[in-house]
Amino acid sequence: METKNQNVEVNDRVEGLVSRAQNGEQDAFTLLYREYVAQIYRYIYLRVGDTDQAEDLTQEVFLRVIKSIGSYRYRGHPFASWLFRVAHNLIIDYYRQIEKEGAVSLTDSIVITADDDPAMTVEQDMEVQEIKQAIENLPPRQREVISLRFGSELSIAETARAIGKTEGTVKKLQYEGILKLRKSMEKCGRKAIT
Amino acid sequence: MRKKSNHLNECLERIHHGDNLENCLKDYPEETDELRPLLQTALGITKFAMTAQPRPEFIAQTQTILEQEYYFSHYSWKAKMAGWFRPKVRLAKVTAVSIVILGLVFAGGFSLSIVASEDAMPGQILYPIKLATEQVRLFFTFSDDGKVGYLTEYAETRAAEIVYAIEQGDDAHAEAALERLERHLDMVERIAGPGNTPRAMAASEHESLILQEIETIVNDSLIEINERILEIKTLDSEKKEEIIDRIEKAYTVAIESIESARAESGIVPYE
Repeated sequence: METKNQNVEVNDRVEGLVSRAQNGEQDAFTLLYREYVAQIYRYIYLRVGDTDQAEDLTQEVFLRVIKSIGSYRYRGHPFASWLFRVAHNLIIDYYRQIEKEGAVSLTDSIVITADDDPAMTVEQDMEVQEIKQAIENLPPRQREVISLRFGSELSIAETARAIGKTEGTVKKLQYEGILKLRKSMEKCGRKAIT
Repeated sequence: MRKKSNHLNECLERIHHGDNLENCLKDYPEETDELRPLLQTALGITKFAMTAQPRPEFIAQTQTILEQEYYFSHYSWKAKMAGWFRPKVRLAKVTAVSIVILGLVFAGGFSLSIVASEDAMPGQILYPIKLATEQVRLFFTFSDDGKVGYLTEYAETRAAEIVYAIEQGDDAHAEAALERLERHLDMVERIAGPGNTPRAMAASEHESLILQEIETIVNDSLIEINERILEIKTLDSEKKEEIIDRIEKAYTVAIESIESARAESGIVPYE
C-alpha cells in the first residue's frame, strides 16, 4: 500500500534485483530474500497460525523461488505478486497434505507471545487472542485477502495477482472479511480494537 | 456492496499513506457510522499482524541455507544431487548439503573447488562452498573441544570477512558476517556451557582440562579478532567500537558460560 511514485521506485529496484538474481548474482537473491522474508512470514503465519510451520513454509517458499526464478518474466505485474503466488500455492499444498493426513488441527495455534514486549498488558493479550480467534474463523478466501492486505501490506492489485482474482473481488473479500471480523469482535463484547 | 467496499478501500489507502480516520470519514458523511467501526477493526488487524515477526536467528539461518542452495542451483550440476537429498526439516537440509559435499570430496571432483573456496570472501562465487565445507567439518567433529576449536576458528574467519567487507564498503555482507560470528559463539556457549555439558559435568580430570582448553581457545580468539577490527583503516573509531562491542558481547556470553561450567564442575578459574 504505497504511493505511485514509491511503487515505481520499489518495482524498478526489485526488478533489477530479480534480473541480477536470474543471472547468477547471489547477492541480489539475498537482497530479495531480505526484502520479502518478513512479509512472506507474516502472510504464512496468519494463514497457518503456527510459528514453526510458518518458518518452515517461509523457508520452502524461498527454496522454490531459487528453483523457479529463471522462469519469472515481468509482464506489467510486480515481482511481489509472483512471489506471493508461490507462497499461496505452497499453502494450498500444505492444506491438501493436512487434509490427506487428517491429523493436524488448524485451529490450535496462532500464539503471539509477549516475550519481546514487556509492556504488553493483559488487556492487549486478550485483544490479541480475540483477534486471533476471529481470523481463524474467517472463510479461507477472506482470511487469505486479510493476510495479504494487512499482514504483508500488499496493494489491492498485488493481492489480486497473488490469488488470481480481480481487484473488485479482492475489495469485496476485504470488505466482507473486515465486516465478519468486526461482528466476531462485537460478540466478544469489544467495541473497538484499535 | 461494490460502492461500500470501494469506499472502505479508499479510506484504508488514505490512512495507510498518513491521513487520519476522521478526515477520511468526512468525505463519506452518509456512511460514517458504518465505515468507522470497519476502519477501526482494519487498523486493529494491522496492529495485530505486525506483532508477528520472524525471529532474527531464523532469518539468518535461512539466509545461509538459501545462499548454499542458490550456489548449487546456479553453479553446479551437483545441485540436482542436493535436491535428491533435501528433506523437509531445516537441520536436515544443511545435513543433506553437507552429505553431498562430503560425497563430492571423496569423489575427488570437488576438492579443488573446496581448496579454492578457502580464501573466498562474502559475495564471491565460492563463498557458499566455504561455508558448507565448514559445516561438514563441524558435523563430523565429535569432541566438544574439537567443535569449539573449529567454531572459534570460523569466528576469526568471519572477523577477516568483516574487515574485507568493510574495506569494500559492503555493509550488508559485513553485517551478515558479524551475525554468523555471533552464531558461532552462540554454538560455543551451547556446547560448553553448564547444563549443556553433561560430559563435562561428570568432572573427570580429562573433561576439566578440556573446559580449560576451550576457555583458552575462546579468550585467544577474542584478542585476535579485536586486533583485526582495530586495524581497519577505512572505519572510524566509533564504528570500530560498535563492532567490537558486539563481538565482545557474543564472546563474553560464551566465556561466562564456560566459566560457570567450570565452576560447577569444581575447577578453579583459569589464569
